[in-house]
Amino acid sequence: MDTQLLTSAIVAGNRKDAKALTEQALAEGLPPQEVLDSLIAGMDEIGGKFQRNEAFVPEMLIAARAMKEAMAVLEPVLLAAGIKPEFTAVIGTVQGDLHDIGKNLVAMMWRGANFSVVDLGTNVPPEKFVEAAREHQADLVGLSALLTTTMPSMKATIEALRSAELPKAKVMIGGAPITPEFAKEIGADGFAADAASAVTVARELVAG
Amino acid sequence: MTLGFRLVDGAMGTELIKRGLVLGTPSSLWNLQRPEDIQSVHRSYHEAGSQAITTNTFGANQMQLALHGMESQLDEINIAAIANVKSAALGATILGDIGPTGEMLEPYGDLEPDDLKKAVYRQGKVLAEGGVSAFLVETFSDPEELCITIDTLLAFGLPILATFAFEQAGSEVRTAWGTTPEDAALRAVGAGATATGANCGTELSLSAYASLARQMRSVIPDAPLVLQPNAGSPQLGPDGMSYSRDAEEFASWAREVLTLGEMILGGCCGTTPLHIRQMSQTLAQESNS
Repeated sequence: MDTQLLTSAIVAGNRKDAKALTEQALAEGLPPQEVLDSLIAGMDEIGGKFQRNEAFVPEMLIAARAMKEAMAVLEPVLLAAGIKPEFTAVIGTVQGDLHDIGKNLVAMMWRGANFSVVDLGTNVPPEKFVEAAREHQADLVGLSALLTTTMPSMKATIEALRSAELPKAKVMIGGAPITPEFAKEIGADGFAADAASAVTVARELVAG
Repeated sequence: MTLGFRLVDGAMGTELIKRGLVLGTPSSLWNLQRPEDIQSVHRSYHEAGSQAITTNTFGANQMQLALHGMESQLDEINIAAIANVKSAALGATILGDIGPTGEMLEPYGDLEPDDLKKAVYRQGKVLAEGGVSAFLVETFSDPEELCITIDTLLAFGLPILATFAFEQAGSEVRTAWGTTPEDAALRAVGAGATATGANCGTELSLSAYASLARQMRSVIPDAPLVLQPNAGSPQLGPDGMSYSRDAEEFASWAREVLTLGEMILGGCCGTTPLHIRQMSQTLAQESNS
């Protein structure tokens, strides 16, 4: 089977095809790593379109949903083959903020980039980020905010993470009102303007 | 249709934070718990010149309230919100505020159109029966979700003002759904909105607001346009977030957009009674000239 079909199903956000083609590819004996790479290529492609304003949130959402369906099929096979994500990320929307679209997109893009992702949901207090980062030995902690009013929660969370002394955990932030200046000001290790660049930044941060 | 008002109010959320609203707690609950604070915000806008005052019900729909286990208080909260406007701003037109449910329609999320309609109808009915003069349906990104919301509210026979949240997408302005100002305006008016426009919009400059108004006007020559920008992008200071765009800038911006036909002006995040007062003076000068 042509693995480009897998990539295209993700880009088009076709859930049914993404699932059926993943099953077919595995049944035909394609190595699970190759299947994964083809799916990731799809997420990278739609992410690139999103960055260039050729695709918008709805296209990202349906691609992410297609990726999720395909991963549900692929994950047990990857595990059985001993292929495990190399890095672990913890992600959540900060305290006071109930918005999750951006956070969910980043989580899905990270999963697509083969990070193990622990999603803490929305309205997450600083201590919960610290707890999860410690428990999962996170390489990366991602903080999201949509409301301008909840940006101070990011600062509080970073302070809590720093005083908890988790030397491995790099912190990156993002969300509609966030600027690189703000990220620098509150001591984040990285900033991403959108879900696609969140992958690039995450890869850079964990590579040290 | 002439609505009989040109100046609505400014931000509620950021004014309530100044009065001690804790982040993450639903501001609509303050209609019941802290009515005197809600009324003081309404009163300050009305005194600054707002002819129409918006109920504090942006998140008082069943999905948002359910997040806090308060769904059973929906009627009570919306009724109290109207009472707060009535007692604080005698004579003002009352706009019943309706925001997105926070859930996304299929296939982007799991929300079925029928469930959206039921939720909108439920809040709309309480607001209409409570005596609002019009609906303000605001901060939408998905035009389909907005159209279903408008279509549902038409049942109550009141004027509907419907606004989108835009953001900068490269050199253009679009909603998060990729909708252009032209398409957005056509969709809203096509669905039955009396007036359409924009509110909020992180990072949008006032000149971007003026240019999106021009784009909307190019396809909607007659309907009033509703424009409620933020007071700029927030800066983090020792006392929390502050907003940099001052009232003077709003006044000169108002002069510019008033050349584009019938306008309904107001403000979103970070705007204060001072912004409204300045725009009120601009409007008065325009009427005199």
